[in-house]
Amino acid sequence: MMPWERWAHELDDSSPIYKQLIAKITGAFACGQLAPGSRLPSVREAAALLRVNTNTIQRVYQTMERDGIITCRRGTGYYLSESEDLREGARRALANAALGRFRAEMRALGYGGENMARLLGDYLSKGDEDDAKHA
Amino acid sequence: MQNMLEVSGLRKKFGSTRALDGADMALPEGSVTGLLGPNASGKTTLLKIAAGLLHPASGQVRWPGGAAGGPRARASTAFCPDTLLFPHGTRVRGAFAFYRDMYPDYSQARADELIAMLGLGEYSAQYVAKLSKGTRERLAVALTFSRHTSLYLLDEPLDGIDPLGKTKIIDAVIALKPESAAVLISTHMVRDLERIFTHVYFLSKGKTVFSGECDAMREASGRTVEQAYLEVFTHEGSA
Repeated sequence: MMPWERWAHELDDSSPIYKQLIAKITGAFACGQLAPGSRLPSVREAAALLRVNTNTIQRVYQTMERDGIITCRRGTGYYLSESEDLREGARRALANAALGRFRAEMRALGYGGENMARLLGDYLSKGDEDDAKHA
Repeated sequence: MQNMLEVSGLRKKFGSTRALDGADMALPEGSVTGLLGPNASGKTTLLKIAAGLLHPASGQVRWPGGAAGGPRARASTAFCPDTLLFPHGTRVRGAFAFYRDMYPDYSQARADELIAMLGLGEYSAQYVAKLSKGTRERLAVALTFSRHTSLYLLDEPLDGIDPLGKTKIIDAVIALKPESAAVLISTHMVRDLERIFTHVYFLSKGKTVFSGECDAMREASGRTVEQAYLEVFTHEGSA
């Protein structure tokens, strides 16, 4: 239940709530914070934890069910997929999105492909200590 | 999906004051709709007409399977007024007993859950008239949702309530709204409630000046519902 209570405080009212929740659940699934195959809160429980209306949760679950990330088992509730392929796919999609944001920011600063790659290589080779400082 | 309430072209005057001047609204099954507008924009009049307590001068009100203001429609509508009216000397437990006797859709299990959620247990023997504003408002919400029905109408339920009380009321609405029921909440506290709204209607000078589905509004404008509200009413010059 832990991440759900935290998410309630992280939601931003200036963009669609259902999209933010899809991103949060997908992210937690991709990085293993929510275990594959684990049961999700019921629509009403999730609405209460997040203090949003139940329609929003229904929309989130239905959308994610269509994408295969969650399954609805009649009478018992919603479960995260156990598929390692799907999890890896979600992780790659999020990684690509992060890379896309990185590239866009670097381009805005005037760095082209080669310089961008060189800077990134330098940065990564400086190691974990520096990394933590910038995180 | 059917609408649990539809109103169109509502007009109502009190003396020379035009309270409603062509208001339109539809509440889909399952929705939680915010009726937003500054003071004196017609919110309470619209709610009272929706509850069947007032008759519009013109315009239409339709409930599923019930004529406007008819007994069937009125019986399936739970109205939470701005001010609770009980005979002098009514205690909190007496208010629940009144609802139990008055409404066939009253559920003791729902009432017990609401009493626990809204922290009303300790007030059971107290007089309704002696309760603080915040406690009275929590009582009004508890009584309203102790009925299991298809349409709930709440007039300014957060008015004058402290932050903890607001949270409790919001939690009660989320927990006890029957799945297909529609809820209409009038308020000017947009920020406190916007996350539980599925739809909003902006009312100004008795007219519907804007309406939308909340996530679609956020998607299209990148703004909160509250920012949209401030924008509309600042331009109207009536906020």
